Amino acid sequence: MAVKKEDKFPVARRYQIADVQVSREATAVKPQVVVNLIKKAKHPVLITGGQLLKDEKLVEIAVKFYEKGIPIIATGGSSKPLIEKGVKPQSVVFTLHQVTQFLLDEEWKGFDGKGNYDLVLFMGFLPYYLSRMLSALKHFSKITTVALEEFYQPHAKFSFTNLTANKDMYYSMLEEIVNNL
Amino acid sequence: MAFELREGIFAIDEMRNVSIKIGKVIEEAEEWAEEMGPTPKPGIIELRKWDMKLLERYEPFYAPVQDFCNLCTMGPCDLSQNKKGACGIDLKTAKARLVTIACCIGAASHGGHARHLLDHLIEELGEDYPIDLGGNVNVEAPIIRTVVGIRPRTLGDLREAMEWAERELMRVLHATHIGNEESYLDYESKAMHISMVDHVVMEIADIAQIVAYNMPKAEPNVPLTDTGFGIVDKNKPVIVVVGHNVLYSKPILDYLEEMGRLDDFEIAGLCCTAHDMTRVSGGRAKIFGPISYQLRVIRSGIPDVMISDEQCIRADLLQACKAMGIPLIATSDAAARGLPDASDWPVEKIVNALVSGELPGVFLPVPEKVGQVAPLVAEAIFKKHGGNRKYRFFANDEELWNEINKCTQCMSCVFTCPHNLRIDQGMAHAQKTKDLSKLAKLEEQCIACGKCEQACPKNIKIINVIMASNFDRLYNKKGKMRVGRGPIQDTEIRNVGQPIVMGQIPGVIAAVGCVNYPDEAKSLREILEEFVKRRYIVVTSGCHAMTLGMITDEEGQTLYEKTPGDFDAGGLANVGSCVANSHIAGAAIKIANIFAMRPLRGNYAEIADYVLNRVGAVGFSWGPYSHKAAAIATGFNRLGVPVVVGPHGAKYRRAYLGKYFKKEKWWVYDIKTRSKVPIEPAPDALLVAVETKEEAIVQLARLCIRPNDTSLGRQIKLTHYLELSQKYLGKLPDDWHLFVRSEADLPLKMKDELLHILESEYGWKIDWDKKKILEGPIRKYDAGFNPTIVEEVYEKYAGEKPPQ
Amino acid sequence: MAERKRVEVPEGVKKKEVSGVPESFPFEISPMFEGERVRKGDMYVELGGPSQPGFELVIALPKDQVEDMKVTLIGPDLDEMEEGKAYPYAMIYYVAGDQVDNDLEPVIERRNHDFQNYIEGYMHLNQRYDIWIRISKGAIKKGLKSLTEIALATMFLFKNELPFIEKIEAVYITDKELVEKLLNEMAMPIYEERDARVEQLHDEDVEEFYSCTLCQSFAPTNVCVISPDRPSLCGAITWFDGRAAARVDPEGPNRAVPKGECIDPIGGEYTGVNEFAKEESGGEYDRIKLHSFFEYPHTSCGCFEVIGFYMPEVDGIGWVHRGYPDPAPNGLTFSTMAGQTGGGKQVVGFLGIGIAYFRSKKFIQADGGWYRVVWMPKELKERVLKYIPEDMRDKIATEEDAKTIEELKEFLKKVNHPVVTGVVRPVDGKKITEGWKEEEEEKVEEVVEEKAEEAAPAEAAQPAAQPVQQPMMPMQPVQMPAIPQIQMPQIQLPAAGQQPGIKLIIKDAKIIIDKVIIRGKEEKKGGK
Repeated sequence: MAVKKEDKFPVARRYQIADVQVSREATAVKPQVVVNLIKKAKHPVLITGGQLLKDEKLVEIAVKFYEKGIPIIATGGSSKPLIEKGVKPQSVVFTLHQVTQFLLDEEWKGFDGKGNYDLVLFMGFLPYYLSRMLSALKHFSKITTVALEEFYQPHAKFSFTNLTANKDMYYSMLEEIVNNL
Repeated sequence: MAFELREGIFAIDEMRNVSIKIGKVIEEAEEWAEEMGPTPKPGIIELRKWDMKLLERYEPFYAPVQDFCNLCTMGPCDLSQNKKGACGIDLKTAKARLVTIACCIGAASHGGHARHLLDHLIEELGEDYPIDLGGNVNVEAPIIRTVVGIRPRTLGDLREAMEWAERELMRVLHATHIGNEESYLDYESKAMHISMVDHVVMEIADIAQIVAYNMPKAEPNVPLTDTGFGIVDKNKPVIVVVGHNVLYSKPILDYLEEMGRLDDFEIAGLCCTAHDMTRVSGGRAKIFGPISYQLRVIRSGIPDVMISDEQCIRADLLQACKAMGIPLIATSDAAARGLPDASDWPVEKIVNALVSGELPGVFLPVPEKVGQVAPLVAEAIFKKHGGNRKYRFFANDEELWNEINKCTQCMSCVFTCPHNLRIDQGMAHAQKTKDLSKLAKLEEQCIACGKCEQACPKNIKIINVIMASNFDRLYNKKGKMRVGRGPIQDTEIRNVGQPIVMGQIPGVIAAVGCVNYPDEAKSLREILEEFVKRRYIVVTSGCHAMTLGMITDEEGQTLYEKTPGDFDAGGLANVGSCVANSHIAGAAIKIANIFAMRPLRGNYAEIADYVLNRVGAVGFSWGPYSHKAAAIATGFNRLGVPVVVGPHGAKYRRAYLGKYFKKEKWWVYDIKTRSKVPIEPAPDALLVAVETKEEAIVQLARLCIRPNDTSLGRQIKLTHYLELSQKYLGKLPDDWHLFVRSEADLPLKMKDELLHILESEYGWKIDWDKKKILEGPIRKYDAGFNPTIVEEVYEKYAGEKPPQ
Repeated sequence: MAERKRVEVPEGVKKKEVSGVPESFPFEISPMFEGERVRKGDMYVELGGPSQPGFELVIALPKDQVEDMKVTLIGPDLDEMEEGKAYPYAMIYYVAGDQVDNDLEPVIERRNHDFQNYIEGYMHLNQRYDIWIRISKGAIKKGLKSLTEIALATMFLFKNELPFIEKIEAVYITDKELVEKLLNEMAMPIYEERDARVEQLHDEDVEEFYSCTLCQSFAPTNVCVISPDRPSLCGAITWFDGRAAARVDPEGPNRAVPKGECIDPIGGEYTGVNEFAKEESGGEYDRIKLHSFFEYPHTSCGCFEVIGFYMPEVDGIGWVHRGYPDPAPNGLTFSTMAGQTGGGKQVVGFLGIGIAYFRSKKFIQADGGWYRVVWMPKELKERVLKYIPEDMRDKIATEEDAKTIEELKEFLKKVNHPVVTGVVRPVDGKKITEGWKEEEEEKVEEVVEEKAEEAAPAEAAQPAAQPVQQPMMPMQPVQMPAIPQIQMPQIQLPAAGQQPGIKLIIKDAKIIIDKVIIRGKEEKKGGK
């Protein structure tokens, strides 16, 4: 079910009211924008976090991303359910903290040796943990970051709006992305 | 008599009316014969070279919380995208500066505490009061010996270390003034420096209180003490102490003991003063819990009097106590709380003012008076209500439901809660189904910070609702914690030397720090139990130690009751309060001295270099929150010990993360072969934040690996790393092959399988007849490998300059 | 020498044979189960233990007599056993390989305990004929059906860890008659033979010793040389263990050390050993006398179980074990003394050893062995009592006999310990010490008397080393620490006005004054 323009679209409320920065906040986007970003990217990647251990639906979505050709870096233990479903993550043991440090290094060739990633999607993280990593990427790199979370992430370049009050809409937005890849 | 007064030697014919005062007479043997090393009492510059070596490999990573600075009147300045502010500082450097300030605050806290304790104890017991930590502790103050270069024999000797520390704090804090450092690396060096100072002052504080107050001296078999919310008898007056300084809680115990009335009262503590109270009293005092239990305890009306001192206490303590009619006695000048100074008042006057309600509290920095006032007030207050108000967050159920029904699910609370707890969902569920279980679940994670109530437009007493919803479980969250034992014995360290090199002990996990856990508190036990089972040595302190004392299993036992308190394989040793963390760093230092006889005196860089390359210990703070924790962690880092923190730790802004793919950064000098050798990236981070408990477990096992492991040692470490990765991450870790130096490093039961993988996936060459690895490892294993990254250390032992 | 033969399976006894490692085992294998304890309530069955006979035995056989990875079970298997009961249990392993010999049998055998404990749900205690096994109910629930699975898992681990085992075969027996028969006829004689060999094997009998540099991981210059008469100081490695480890990995931390020529048979010095030590210690030292306390003593890393210390006052050696918390008669604790040695340095005056060295016939023989030992804690002495020559047993003091040097002197005189009159070294009959000399009278007496004449309240003579507790005022009787320098002429200190008759005479003293503060005209300090 695509989110139509007319639908009552939730306000982009920050996951933490006091996580305020001077620099511009993330643009709240609808699924089609994300699809376009992915299609235009040269070396996209999806990084999954520990919340996949608590939410089966996110695992399913991640598997669909993988099946559509988006490589996955699995952190926080999210690799376990993904591997059980046949996914081969590019990395399982490095924390998001470390992966972000690597991303910030322009000389890094990525886990697959094809060069650094230019579009990084995030799904399934503790909001306050992800926010810090996005902040680092915002200020110290030019990588385009997209947060596909339930909570609006102000420091990504692009983020879903705040969907905490409507989990179904969240899932359907994720479905819409993978279906259109 | 006439004589000329000039410098030099001269003869005196006669002396009249002369008194000769001789300050110190010591036997020649008592003078410390160990040669002074290169950096006694170091300033900022002396160890900078060592810091730069660490920072070169473990590159600082910054995750800004704020991207602007408003510390001076030229601002506020936008520093986003690493822009420079009005003073010229850029975002990275501004963050590094903040980190330095945080570490200064941490060091100052422990330092202030240490100075206060030390001065008081010297006044009470004298300069010459001896430092004796028992027959099995020969190296009584490893950190002081190494950093300051003195061997303290008496309380008076500790002053020298204290004075040096205070001097350093001034220097480092000064450097955070606007218009100082330009380089974020130099700020990091200063942060490391002041954090090392932090370790010194912690050692001062703990040694002083152990010897002065006769706390357990490195004993593994210390008593167990009651820990948890439901531990007090509500039919007795309850005295609650919160804070860090045992100076103010001990007099209460002393007074009651003198009066023979210890059994008529309940005395329980929150945070480190609880630890130290139980160490003093042999477990007779009790522990409510860590700092997250302050509001739980106050709002449930348990205390009949509250005594606060310093650090980590709620800044609205007076308000909270007032609301419940609990008199407050503030004792520290760091937290006078706007209360009138009652130092000179007679005890009766104080008691009357508090009991009558005339004053909600007093500022009373006089320990002996506190000792008397507290019980008198508690008893009188108790008489007023007879125990009726204890353990009740609400007067009745109706009140509870009134609050719940006010909620409109606006989610203001969710967006201010540090954990983004779904209070809205809990309330909605309760409203619809009259079932409190969703709200109850929140209690397991709630740190009772009260932000939700501040944000709520309907002023709902959210904390009370959450606590009341889980009341039964909360009340029963009680168990036993082993009292803090202080240092690790020299003999315990000798004891584990052989098992470590023979691969029977895989490593040391030190679970220390605060309570901002990302998960339910029991996750801490789950993580540590995994390591206790696997025969790691587990050490704990502070709020972590207390939390472990409250988590019981199906048999109603805490981890302490199932595990011995020895510093040994499969043991769980609680060193004590936060200042006792110095003993953990001290143990790492002692290893260098006991096994390699590396001289400690003023020899920090060599010792830290030894620890980095050899000692497989990892610090673990699952819920860090304070500046003290930041300083403690950074202090460990300078010593070469990596630390894993929970996800909230990312908000410290700075991490030290090495990059395994930068091969040129992973090298050592090998003294034995007189060469520069590439090594495996172990450990590959000094400070890293994990997201989940699964990730924590794997990272802890991974970061125990060290370049100088023996084959058996590496084998056991890899066995656990690989097993844990398969268990929690679903497959072998991506980097395990980097840690294989020879076939002897391979876990036994997987040897064949792993050799196949090395050949097929990584292109290594295997001799299948002999099951030997011919080509592929970064380096071979040599038992005599003698690594160092410090040129001066190389020169000292090799007798020549290191190769390029 | 007891013969090594395959076990003959008697007629008509139930037998099960399985070969080859299965795809997977119905249990986890991991070192994390090492400390696992199976309590009575949780156990499915007990094997061996206090109520049933049991033993484990490894024997070396020629390659053609061993069928690799085959296990034969004689007697009832797990599925025929009754829950909660105890059964007899024998585990016999045949091992073969080019490098396998009888000396390696006990080394391999000891690993049975380690490996079997890695198996989840299976607890193995003790060794040889004391073995005590329990299998948990949980293990059965997880699918453990047969002891053959245990055997195959164990053999799999053996081969992985010890690649010099080219072939290994197991025979497990749960038939009571057969277990008892083999215990008496086969196992016990072999154990006794081995003990005798250890007992009788000496440094002279072998071509090479073995080194251990495992601890160089922490103490970079430490090299342990392990010989039949000198086991490791950490207690973990005997000459046989070293031999096995060197076979596994000749380039590893345990290597063969060819003796070379014997330079000093009593002290135990060999050219080969010296060369090796020089090389492996990075040149830190180049001579070791294996059985000497005073000359080129063996180094240690810090994990020694016992430390020896020399007390010059009695010309004897004392020993303290790790874990004894009180000070020895020299006033030092184990930890303090241990801090003086270790780190791979040769330190004379202290020696770290393993408890097993007390058993050695060459126990510090260069210095008189037991005849030079004057003190050990009671706990330690009882543990090694049977190795102390009978004529010395009552002459070695414990903390019950002496806690200070003075008390020790008394005791040693009383029992007429050899150190008093001079120790005769048993190995060659040479007298190596002179015995105690007559003590020189301290000149303190005279000085005190002199002072007593001049100063009113005289104090008793104190040994010169007493520190002064109070600042010295002319009004109080004082003790002067002995200041040895002779520089100054005599100085007389007149007494202060109020107290009568106390004169202080400072003779031969050098006074160094840090600061002289000259105050106005109020006080006369040494002025006119």
